[in-house]
Amino acid sequence: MRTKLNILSLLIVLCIILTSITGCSNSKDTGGTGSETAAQNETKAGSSTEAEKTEHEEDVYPENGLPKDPITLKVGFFEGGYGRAYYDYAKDTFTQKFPNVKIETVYSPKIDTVVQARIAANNVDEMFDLAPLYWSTYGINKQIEPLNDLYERELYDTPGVKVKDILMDGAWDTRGEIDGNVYTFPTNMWVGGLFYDKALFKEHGWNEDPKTFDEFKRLCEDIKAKGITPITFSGMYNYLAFSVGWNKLYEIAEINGYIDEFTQKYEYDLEYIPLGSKEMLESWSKLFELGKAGYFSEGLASLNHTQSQMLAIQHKAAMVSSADWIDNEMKDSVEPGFEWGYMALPFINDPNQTIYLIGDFATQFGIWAAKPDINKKWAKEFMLWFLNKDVQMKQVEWAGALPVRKDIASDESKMASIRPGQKNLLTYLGTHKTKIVSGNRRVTPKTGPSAQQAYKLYTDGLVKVAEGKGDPEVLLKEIYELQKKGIEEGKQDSQ
Amino acid sequence: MDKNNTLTTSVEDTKVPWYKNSQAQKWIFLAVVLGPAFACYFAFSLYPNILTAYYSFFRWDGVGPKIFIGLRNYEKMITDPFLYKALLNNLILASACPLLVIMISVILAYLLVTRRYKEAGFYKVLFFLPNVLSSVVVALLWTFIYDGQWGLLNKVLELIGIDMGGFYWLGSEKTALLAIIPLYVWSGVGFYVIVFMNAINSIPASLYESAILEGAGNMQRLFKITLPLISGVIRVGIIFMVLGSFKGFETILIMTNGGPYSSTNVIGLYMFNFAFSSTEIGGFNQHDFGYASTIGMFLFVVLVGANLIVNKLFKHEAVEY
Repeated sequence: MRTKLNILSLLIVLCIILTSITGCSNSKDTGGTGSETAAQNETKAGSSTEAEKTEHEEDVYPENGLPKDPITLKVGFFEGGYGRAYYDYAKDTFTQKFPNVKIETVYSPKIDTVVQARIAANNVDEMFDLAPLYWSTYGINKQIEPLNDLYERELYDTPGVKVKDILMDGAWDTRGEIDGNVYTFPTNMWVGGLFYDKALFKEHGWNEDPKTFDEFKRLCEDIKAKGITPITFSGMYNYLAFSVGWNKLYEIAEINGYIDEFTQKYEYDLEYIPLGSKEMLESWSKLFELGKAGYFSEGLASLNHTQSQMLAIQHKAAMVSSADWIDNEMKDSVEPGFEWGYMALPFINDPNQTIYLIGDFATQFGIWAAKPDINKKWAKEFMLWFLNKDVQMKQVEWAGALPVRKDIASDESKMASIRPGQKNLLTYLGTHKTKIVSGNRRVTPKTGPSAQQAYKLYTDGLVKVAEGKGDPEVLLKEIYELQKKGIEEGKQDSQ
Repeated sequence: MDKNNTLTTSVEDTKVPWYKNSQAQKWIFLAVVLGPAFACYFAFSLYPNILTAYYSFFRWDGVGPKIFIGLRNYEKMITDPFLYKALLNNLILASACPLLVIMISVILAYLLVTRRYKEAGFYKVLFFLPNVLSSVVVALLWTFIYDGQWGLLNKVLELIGIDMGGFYWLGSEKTALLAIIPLYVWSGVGFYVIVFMNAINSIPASLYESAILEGAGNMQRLFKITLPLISGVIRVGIIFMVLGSFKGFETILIMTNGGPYSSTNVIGLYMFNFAFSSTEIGGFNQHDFGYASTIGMFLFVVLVGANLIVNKLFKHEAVEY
């Protein structure tokens, strides 16, 4: 009897285990995220007769031709200086318009770590449909979806107008492209440069618009004469790159009269090594000139971005190198009425030449290529939604971001609600001969560990030069050699 | 009838199910007791370590295909000056921090136990406080202590007439690593005060009483009775702290991110940055899990070596009292 009972118990346990396993394996294929749902939708679409067609038309949205079947999109959202309110607005309005779509979002300032963990788990269902999947890292392995077709789409709120025709000038130039596949899609724009308290500059009568390098040096001298450090930045996270980064290589080439040749070389020539190039040496030499004159604050290497921005707010330093999100990021730390001014650090000495700014038409998301087709289609629709005027305006008003639509940027009534800092930046862009570059290259160098060490030396070196402590030529020679070695290692690895 | 019954019972006895066999019972018991622990150890410790060794033979960015490169990562590692710089920083921290923590904790524990202060309970809480704070909070707290403009340290020095002129303690190559040591000591002392107090309390009072009767002073009692009798606990403490200071890097990541100019870089941080940091060169991120794993293997060897050295220096001696 007892033996029978034991056998029975064993059978029950086996049943429970088998049921659990079956349950788990089923979960993969149920719900809107499963590949089966996608397959079913495609089958539905493919097997339509005329009668079925009418019925089918009722089952799809006329705006995008996508089915009304329930679907869940998993989104990883980077919660940084722009906050999350504008994203929530976009999400809510999108799901109101398309109630079959449910959006589950994970917000984090370290979302890249979450993304990497999910990729490592190698479970397509668990992976985000949309997340800040950096275009070069994932595009090179074709792990994200090309977005070329999105540029040809008509806007949701302005039928007849295509995305490519409404984007601000320069948006296409900063695209992230590999082998003809474009992996970036702009939803807002950011620009780096030097930010300052306008009231402080007015109080001292300092030049708010130095057009040349010489004028900029005179400004720094004036500031220093008042006992205030002219420039600060976060050395810990290389925030000087928002003023003196890859953009200055273009500017040096412009000054020396070979910008077209340089652009081609920088963006497409694998043999060209930006770290340690002659353009970088010239750029660092100018920086060294400022550093030796003591125009940068003390202890740069230990400053994080909050500390450096606080130095500017509290007038310990006059200008801080950062990007336009500073306005939103520091809004709780400034007195009412505080207004951020904006200027670039010009290297040109001929005011007719172009000042190159570092910036990007920001792509918030990449779409994970392994997801079912239907998820990817809806993910693209959600990205397109961010170009709606109301969403763009929420980005402007709530996040302090810059719009990417020409019709918004040129509409004074719309720009009335923009933050003063952003307005000053747009005024600067509108009144100066500037060009925004992202520093993105179109070629993919395969490198070994030495390249990463070279980059570390580069970020350290930048601080050293700004502090007037390191000879640019010596530093860049070491960086160049290391980067070259990194490329050799990459070639060796590929053999 | 009785005979029949006896026969039946003896037949049943010979058909004892296998799992009731005493040997089987012993194995089942061992499996039940050790199984879950071993499964967790395998899943969360052993398996990742095996994977680390495996990845060290590849070039892998963590998301793309892995390229087998044999021992090339190890060849690179042997001649990597950045790694040796990080190792040197680790050695400085591993020599200074445990020594200072042990010295200060033993003295504080000895005082709190022998002097029997009324406020001993309060002091215990006070010393232990840093242990309940997360390492992020501790790092941020000390970052502000060392800040050049608003930092507590500069203000205190100013009060005693030393003007540092807005010196950033974490911004200079000369002071950054040294500035990290007090943080480790401050956050480590409290825990070991509690441990050593309990160890000292377990020493029979009669030993102290007879020492006092024989005229031994405080220092003699500390060095001749207390320290020898708690040496086992001290030894374990040293091992934990030495290994901890080789493995830990999160505080440094927050305070200096290894800077300025790698002066506070440690092996763990160096490894972390290779695997996870976003270094963009012309828009291209570079992650190298393969080389990071190789550094991980190096760290493993360093940890084993450190353990052997500590064991050699502080031999375990059985104490009876």
